Amino acid sequence: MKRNPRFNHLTAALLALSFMAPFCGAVVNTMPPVVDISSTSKTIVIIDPAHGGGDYGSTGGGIREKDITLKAARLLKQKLESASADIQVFLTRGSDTAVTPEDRAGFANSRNGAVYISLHCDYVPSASSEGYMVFYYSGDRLSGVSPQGIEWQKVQLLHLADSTALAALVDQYMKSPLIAAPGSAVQDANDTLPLASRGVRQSALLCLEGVNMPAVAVEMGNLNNTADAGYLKDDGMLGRICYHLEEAIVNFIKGQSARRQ
Amino acid sequence: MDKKVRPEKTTAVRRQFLYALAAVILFAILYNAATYYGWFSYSVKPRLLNVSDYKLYDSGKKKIKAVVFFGAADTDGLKPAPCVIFESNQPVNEIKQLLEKMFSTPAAAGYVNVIPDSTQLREAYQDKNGILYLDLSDEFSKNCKSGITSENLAVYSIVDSICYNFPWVKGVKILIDGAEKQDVAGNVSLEGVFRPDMNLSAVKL
Repeated sequence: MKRNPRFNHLTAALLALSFMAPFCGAVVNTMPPVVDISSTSKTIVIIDPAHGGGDYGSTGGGIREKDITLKAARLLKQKLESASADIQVFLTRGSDTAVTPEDRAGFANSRNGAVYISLHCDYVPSASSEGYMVFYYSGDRLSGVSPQGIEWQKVQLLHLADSTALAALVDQYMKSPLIAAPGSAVQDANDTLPLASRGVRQSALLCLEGVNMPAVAVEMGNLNNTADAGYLKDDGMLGRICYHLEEAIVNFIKGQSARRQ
Repeated sequence: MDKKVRPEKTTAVRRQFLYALAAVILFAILYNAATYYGWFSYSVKPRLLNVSDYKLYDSGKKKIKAVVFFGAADTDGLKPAPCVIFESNQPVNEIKQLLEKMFSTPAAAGYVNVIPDSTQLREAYQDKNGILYLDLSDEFSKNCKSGITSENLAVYSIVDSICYNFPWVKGVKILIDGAEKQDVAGNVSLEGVFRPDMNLSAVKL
């Protein structure tokens, strides 16, 4: 029989395709693009707007967590970079995209961040529960640490002392009256947030466990509470929340630098 | 010189082989595309174990007073509530009774439901180190409202209720549909073993 070369080529192509098919786009990279930071001497702050893309996070009061966290992250970045020329801020997502917790942590770790702050909006089953809450990673679990070492996913356990201090500082600055920021809509000289403090708590949070630097998650309000949802919807109030967060972060960085000197 | 001619039969066999090969390759491409794009799922779900089909207790046995932790209606924490279970020769059966009560009892005044709707206990078993493995139905994760507090309350209402009543349980590992899952609903990790967090209810162990 005369061999048909076209048939053989087709067979070879199909064979190659069938082996390649499982690998075509099977791994979706959600890692934000790499930025060269080797030349910078600035203190790096990583802000993590929680959720994104198809992951809306919590919802309530007509708002979605992913939108509020992104808006707050952009505001906080702006405030931090205006507050100090020595601070450079990176967001783990700059748009409405889904990023895996591993990629968020990898992004932060590769930039050698000094502080990591993950922004969230809470959902508390009790609708009467109102206010913000600050979380740091829970090391009170049986896994993650063994006599041989620490699992890389649980690297946050190495920073528990600093993360605890950062959480306490964020809570303190959120509930304290601050001198109103220039240009702020606040009438009084003191800017006191109307949000109640629900305190500081530990939790086994996916968004913190792989982060190799002091890290906290801030639940800025309870979306199941009408008053809190109203505050988070208000851009002016969100700006004030970010001002309090910015002051806490700047003071934490100053404290860290003073301790090193 | 005469050109060597292959017998007709060999040619037919060769053609059939090539057709078969092409069919296999085509099937492989379609199968890979179908699984990748999720046109069908080939995972086999383990058989559901409906605990109510099994005799978990004998009402003639001694009653034991227990405490379960439901969500508090006025705070973001948990609140203890008394309940009664029956003694069993198998300690895990007492835990199953406790969880069945938690999952089926509607919230009374002063409490809120923190266990996601329709959650079922598929199985519970212990290991020799005092770790209790709880296999919950996927409604636990699917119906849980995303939010650190709501996810924490769902986990710790179960963990605290078990560890408070059964001190031999050193930690609880939660499985969903018989497998490990990364998180409850996007925030709280399920990868480790949970120990009780009595700060949520301000009750001492």
